[in-house]
Order: sequence, then C-alpha cells, then structure tokens
Amino acid sequence: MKWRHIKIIWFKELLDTFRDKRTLYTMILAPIIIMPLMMVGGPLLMTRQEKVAEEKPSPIAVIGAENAPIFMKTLQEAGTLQIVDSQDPESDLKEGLISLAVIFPQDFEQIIAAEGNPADITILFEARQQTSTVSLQKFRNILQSYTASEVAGRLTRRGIDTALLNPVSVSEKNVANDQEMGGMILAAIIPFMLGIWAVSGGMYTAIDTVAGEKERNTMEGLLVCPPSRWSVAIGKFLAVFIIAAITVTLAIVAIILAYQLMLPALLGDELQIDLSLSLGSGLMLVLISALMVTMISAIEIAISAFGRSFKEAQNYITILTFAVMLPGMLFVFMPDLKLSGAGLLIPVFNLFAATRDILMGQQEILNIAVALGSSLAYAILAIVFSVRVFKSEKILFRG
Amino acid sequence: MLVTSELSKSFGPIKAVDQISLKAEAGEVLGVLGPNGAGKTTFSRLIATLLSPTSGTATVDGHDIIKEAEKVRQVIGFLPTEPGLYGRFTAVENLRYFGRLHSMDEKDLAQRIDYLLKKFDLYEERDRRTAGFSKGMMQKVSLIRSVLHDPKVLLLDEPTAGLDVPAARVVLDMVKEFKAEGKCILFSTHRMAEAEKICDRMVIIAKGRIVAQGTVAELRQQAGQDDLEEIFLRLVGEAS
Repeated sequence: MKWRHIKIIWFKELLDTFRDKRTLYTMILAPIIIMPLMMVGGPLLMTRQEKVAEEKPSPIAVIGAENAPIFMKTLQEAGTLQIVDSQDPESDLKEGLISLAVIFPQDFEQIIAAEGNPADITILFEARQQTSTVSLQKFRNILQSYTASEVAGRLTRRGIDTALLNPVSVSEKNVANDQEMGGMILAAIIPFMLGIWAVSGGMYTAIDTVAGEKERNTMEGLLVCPPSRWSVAIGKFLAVFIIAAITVTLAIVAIILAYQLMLPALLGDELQIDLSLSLGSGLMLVLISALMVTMISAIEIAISAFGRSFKEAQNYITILTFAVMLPGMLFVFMPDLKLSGAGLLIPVFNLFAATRDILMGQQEILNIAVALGSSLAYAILAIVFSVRVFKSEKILFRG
Repeated sequence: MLVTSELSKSFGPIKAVDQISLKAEAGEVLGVLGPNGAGKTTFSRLIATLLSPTSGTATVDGHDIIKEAEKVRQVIGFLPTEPGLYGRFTAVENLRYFGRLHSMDEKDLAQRIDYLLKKFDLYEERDRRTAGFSKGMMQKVSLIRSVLHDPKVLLLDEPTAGLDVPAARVVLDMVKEFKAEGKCILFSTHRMAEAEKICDRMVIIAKGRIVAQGTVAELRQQAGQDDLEEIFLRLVGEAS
C-alpha cells in the first residue's frame, strides 16, 4: 500500500465523480434544496392553512337562532364565525358550503332561565374538513364563555362569590431553555439526515468506481498497474468518503438553516427556540458523522465490488439505504428511545442514539464512549472487509 | 523474457489453464491461438497478476508473478479484450492517469504521451473525451496506454476483435512497431490469418492445454498440410 498510489486513484475518482451529472443531483440538489423543502415546506403549508382557517370567519348555520337571542349576541360579538342561512344543513356541510351547523331547541331560553336541567343543543360537523374542525373549536370557545357568564350570573344572584369556582390558579413554566428546546428538534431530525445522506451521498461514486468500472471493462486495465489492491480499494474508498462527507455536511447545514428560517412561521412568535450548537456538541457531531460515513462508504465499496453490474450494485445499496433509514426514522417517532447495555453495540443504531443524547444534552460519557469505540472498530472492520472483497478474484472477475 | 512453467488455473472443477510451459524472447511476437473459451484470456490474466495460479508459476523479466507481483506489473503492458477507457476523461487524461500509476516522471510522461499520440495519429483528438471515440480510436488509445511506460513485455488479448479492416490494420502495424522496439509480445487471437501475418511463433491451445507449437513453417510441416486453418481446426478438434 503506497500513499502516492492511493492519492492518484483517490483524486482521479473525485474528478470523475464531479464530471458525472448525477453528482450534481445527489450532492447538491437533493440534500440542500429538495430535502429541506420536503421537511420544512410540508408542515409550513399545513400551519399556514390552519392559520387561514383560524383567522377567516367560516360560515356556520344556526337553526333556531331566534330561540337563543342572548347566546346569538355572544356569538356575534366574538366575530370568529359568520352566520349564514341553510335549508339543508347536513348536505350543505358535506358540500362544504358551511363549516358547522348548530341546532337550538325551541325552548332554549326558557330552560336556561329555569336554571334546572341543561338545555340541549346539537352541533353538526364534518370531521374530514379542516375548516369544520376549526369552526367546532371556535364554537366551543364561544359556548364556554357564554356558559361562564351564565354561571357567574346565577351565582351572583344567589350572593355567592364567583372566585369559589376557581380553587386553583396555575402558572406553568418550561424549565428547558431555548437552546434545549432547539436541541430537541435537532435530535429528532439530525440522526435521520445523517443516515440517509451517509448512504445516498457516496452511493453513485461507490457504484460507479467499482461495479461501473467492472461493467465498462476498465477494472482490468487499472488492476494490471503497479498499485496493490489495497491501494486501489483505499483510493476508491477515500473518494466515496469525501463525497459522502461533503453531502452529509451540506445536508445538515441546509436543514438547520431551513428550520431556523421557518421556525417562527411554524411555531408562532411566543415559543422561542434556538437551534445553535455548542462547540463541544458540534465537534462530537463531526466525529460521529465521520465514523458513520467511514463505515457506510467502506460497506458501499464492498457491495459495489460484489455487484456484477451498475444496476445490481444499485439494488443492493437500496437495501442498505432502508437498513440505515429505519433506525433513523425510529428516533424521529420515538424521541425517548434509550439504548443501554448490549444495545450500545448495535452498529448505526448506537451512533444515532449517541447523536440524540448529545443534542438533548443527556449524554453519559461511558455510553458515548462505548458507542463511538465500537463504531470505530466497525469502521475499521468495514474497510478491511471491503479490501478483502476487492482482493477476491472470484468476486472481481465473475461475469 | 517471459517464461511460464506448468502454469495452471482451475475454477472449481474446470481447468481453464492446464500446465502451460512456454518461453518468449525480447523482440519476438508469440501467438497464442485457440478457439473462444480455450483459456487464452485466463492465461494472459495469470501473467498480468490479475489472477493467481492454482499451481505452477511464471517469470517476467526475471520477476516471479506470485512473489513479485508489483514488479511484474511495472514491466508489463496489458491490453484487455475491451478497450476500457474512462469516458468522462479525455484521451490525454486517460493516458496521464495510467502513466502516473506507473510512477512516471510528469515531464517524461507528457512528452511520451505527445510522442505516441502524434505517432499514431491521435494528436488532434487528444483533448476530446473518449466517450465519443470510435471503437478503433479507443483501441488505439488503449494500445498507447499499454506501452506508455515502455514495458518489456506486452500482453495483447484479441487486440483486433470487433475492429473493422482498416482499424485492425492500424493496430497490427502498431504491434509491428513495438516488436521492432524489442518488446516481447504475447499476441492472443483466434484468427489464423492474422496470426500468420504477425507472429514469429505460435502456441495453439485448446481446453487449457498446448496442443501444438512452433513457427508457421514448423506447424505446416508437422501437420503435413499447407492450410493453416485446417491445421488449427484439426488440432482443436482432436483436443475436444
């Protein structure tokens, strides 16, 4: 193994990759434009729609409005719902002409005035329509303030202090500070991002420089040159590593920026969240990413050497993508997942868990050390394995 | 210059190369003839250290192919059946890559590339990406690549396969030039007429074994027949 040889092969593969148009897509377009748009754009559209539905008074039909004049006054004063006429509320609701229908019984006012049994009202809504569920919530709020003022009136008439109704006064305070809240968001997205881009970033380079080289019959010409198989394999591995590392870096920076820009719009102004990382966490994240990318790039080289053609290698690597993505997804949906004992030795999984712990500020040094140490061993094993595969004439020359 | 002794290679139960012993000298073109699947490609891959032998060995310029593989790779030039160039690289970039892998000095390498490209009429095309080259042009670049580092031994595996008549002619002329420079050339082919034109001696192999060897005249004499193709067909037929 000679460093000079490795460098020649490494730089050649990088240049070859940069000249490949697919690289532009996998390295630039997908991670820094398409992915952030998908991750942030979707929720953003949803919150915007919710906001529009909340701000705009939606049409509702009130059947028997004349039976509840006092309530109607409260409803109109609130101004959050627009009252319209409807002959057939159920079908109008289904067609989306109205968002809610409320039916007051004929003797509504009398029952209230009697201060005995509750007065029955019926609300029709359409659960599939977002505007309908929003209107339902708005109507409940109005109903609540109507009820409160009615109850207050009844108590006052009996000479009872309304403070009696509120035995407890609550004030809530979030002890997680802005940066810790930001850490929670990062802990949910970064493991997933790291996994998906560690695999996809170097994928084409890995396939192209090994399986592709076999398919295009350039491999023989390369292997009859003086460099040893070790040098050839390591040179190619380094090219894949660099491409994957650049992609992971760009992708993570892009997604953090996208969240930073969009969080105020997503969460409103009252919730303050700070997505910045401390220097220590940042460095740990770089270390974890480097281990992950090393491990995966080496495995991709081995898989690619195994494939008879570009297509075959691509199929195998797709399976790898899912194998890495699934644990990443798990941390999105189960943010409290904690690895312990032998679990800390599960490759890929343990790095995701370490990332999560560090970003949440819940790291235990021993656990992190076990996860990183075992991953380093896996990374070295993966490199040795990929060279082994590369040296196997059965695999390299099977046609 | 090139000596193989009982060189053998099996893939499972199949003996692809079976105890081949031969010698080739500097300035000599040794034809390796055989039908497709006779073991010609495996034989040249063994000498090129791409495969390791099951038994037997070979030396190239005194270097053992098993113990000194890297030294062997330094003194051989190898032309695979398919040209195998990097399509996103220009002719010069392709050549430069291989020259560097042979640790050639940058200045010498640039001069050598220019010299060879001019000599074989490719100088005008030097900065074009090879993806757009014709098969004949690719084969020329590939041949230049195999002699870039001035190897002592040249292994050519079906160098004219898939080429049209004029392109094949150019390739054969190139081979003659290399011979004149004193290289030891192993020329594998399944075309008798071509072998007759260019080879000083021939070995005919079938099913991994040598079934006959000698100069064209010797082969004719042994067989008692003038038509080389007939001789070839009979020898190969007897082996199977």
